[in-house]
Amino acid sequence: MKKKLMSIFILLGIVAQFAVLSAVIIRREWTLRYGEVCRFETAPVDPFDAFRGQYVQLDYKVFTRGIVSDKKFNRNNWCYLTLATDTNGFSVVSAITDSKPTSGTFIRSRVSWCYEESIEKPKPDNKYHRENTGKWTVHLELPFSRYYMPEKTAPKAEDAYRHANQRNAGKENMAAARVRVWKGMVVIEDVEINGKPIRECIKDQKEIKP
Amino acid sequence: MNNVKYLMQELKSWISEGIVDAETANKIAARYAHAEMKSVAWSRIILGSIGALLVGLGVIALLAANWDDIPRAARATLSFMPLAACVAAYIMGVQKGWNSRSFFEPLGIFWGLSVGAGISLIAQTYHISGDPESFVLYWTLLLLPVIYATQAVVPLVGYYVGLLTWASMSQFSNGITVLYWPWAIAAMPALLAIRKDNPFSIRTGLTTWGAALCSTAAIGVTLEKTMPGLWMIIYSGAFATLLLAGITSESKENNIFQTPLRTIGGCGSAILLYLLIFKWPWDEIGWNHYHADIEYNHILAYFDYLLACVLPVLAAFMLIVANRKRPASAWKGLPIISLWTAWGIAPVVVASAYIVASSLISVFLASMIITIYLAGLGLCTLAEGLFRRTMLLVNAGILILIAIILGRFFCSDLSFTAKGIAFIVSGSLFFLVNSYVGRYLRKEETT
Repeated sequence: MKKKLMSIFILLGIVAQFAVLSAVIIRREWTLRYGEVCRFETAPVDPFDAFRGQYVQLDYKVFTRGIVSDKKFNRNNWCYLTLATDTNGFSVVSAITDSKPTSGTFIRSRVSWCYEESIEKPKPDNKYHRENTGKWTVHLELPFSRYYMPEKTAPKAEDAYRHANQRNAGKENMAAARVRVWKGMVVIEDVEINGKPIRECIKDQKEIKP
Repeated sequence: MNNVKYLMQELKSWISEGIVDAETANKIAARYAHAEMKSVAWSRIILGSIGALLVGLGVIALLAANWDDIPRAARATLSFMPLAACVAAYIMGVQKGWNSRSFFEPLGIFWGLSVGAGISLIAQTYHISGDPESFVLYWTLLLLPVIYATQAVVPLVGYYVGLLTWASMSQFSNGITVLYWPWAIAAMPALLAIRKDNPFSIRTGLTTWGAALCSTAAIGVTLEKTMPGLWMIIYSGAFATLLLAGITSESKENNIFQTPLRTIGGCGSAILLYLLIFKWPWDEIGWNHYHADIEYNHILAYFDYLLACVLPVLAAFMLIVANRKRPASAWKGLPIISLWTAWGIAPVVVASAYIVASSLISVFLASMIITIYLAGLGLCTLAEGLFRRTMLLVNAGILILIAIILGRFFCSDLSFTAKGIAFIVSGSLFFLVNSYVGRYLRKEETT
């Protein structure tokens, strides 16, 4: 009886191993198939942090300075970012909430840290005082900050990505991440430079203007 | 050659020399045949385990190379392959009745690595940015079926190391580290099953050492530390419980490796009490210095209070069990109480000193209470060692006494010359006593 129970327990454990890994795959496959396409303009990153192993560390202009909110979000809590599209066709955050939106395209992300904004105001004693504005800046742990590449092409991709993100790169060299968003889940589909997939760009290095 | 094989060979020569008759030899052979069947070929296990480790790491490296030419669906399927191969090997092994450790130990290693390889490849395929904290947690928790299926040493020790790693990382990001404990308990039945199989085997020693060391370290990691100094009571309770659990369950005839609970409990208690003879641990402790900052989770702090109550009570319970199991006739060194009782009441003494220091009576008095108690323990251990003729206890007793003298001396305002002389005298005394007692014991043995 004890042996039978142990066998059932082990069997359930093995099923759990496959189920957990399958669940991770299925949710992402569903996102890639049925998710909405969004494009996020990438931002420059510290060159020393740009590559850790065989992946490109992505940073996004829309998230670099944090998202401004009317309310405070606690560290490590989940939040939901409703997305909209700007005039250049890039995705931007239109709202940040702590409850799941009922409509629209949204991303689920964890709060990294949050602080209240303040401004300096002159007082009658002619001294400046800092005053809270009631607005909170929320920084996030983004679930789509790594783009894995094959080890041979990774160094070239790093160069291309870093070059496109140089602060004086100009409009002709723009990098963006194309992601699929489905029910809060985000999966990176590709990284684009000037609208072309990064893999094609590194095949033809001329695409990236010196 | 193992002991049983040696005995079997010797039996043949004993019969030929007429030391034992054939019937007695057969009885002896039958008596040890069972042990021979259960004996483990460690060379095969170690070589097999190294092989499994290398193959497993090779698979991870191959998958990590990120095969861009393979389609996404194929890579997702491929990530299951090592795992599926291990499950197939396990099922085949169970069906064919393979119960050798040289099969299950390497399988456990390879299976454990396959879980990690599967998670890594899926993360690579779908560009998952998951932090190292959740990666370690996923991998560790998915080791549970491997532990129960193979009862192998490496996955079981790896499970506790993984949990401790996760808890340490999680502490920095304000995570709920107390979850270490239910997850640690989840692997306990496997640990007990290994112990039940053979309490004195190398497997039991390695797994118990691994689990006990990780869990001891995890106490410090999982505490919320809102109440300064509470760790003293918690750690003294934990070490006393381990020591007394070792007294009741481990044989005193065994070596240090075979008595992990007693060794960790005893050494831990000695080190903790030694730290507490100084004044600095007693500064700014108790309610008057409560951490009310937002950085601390005040709900999780209840876990600290719970441990501070439960562990000393558990130690008291184990003390009763130990005294029932080992009757008063077994006491040697002390006339009133046994040595383990003297060590086992450490949580009560530490708690008393804590009350003295936290209620602002005197920090000096708190450190003095512990100094006197530890010095008493050193004397008792020395006496017990002399009565039992055990060099280990004699040395431990002397070491505690010398450490206290030097520690106190070092903190004083005396000159370096005086301190240097004190060190030399103490060291010489230690060697002299050691050599005298050793010679005395050897002489007694020969007579």
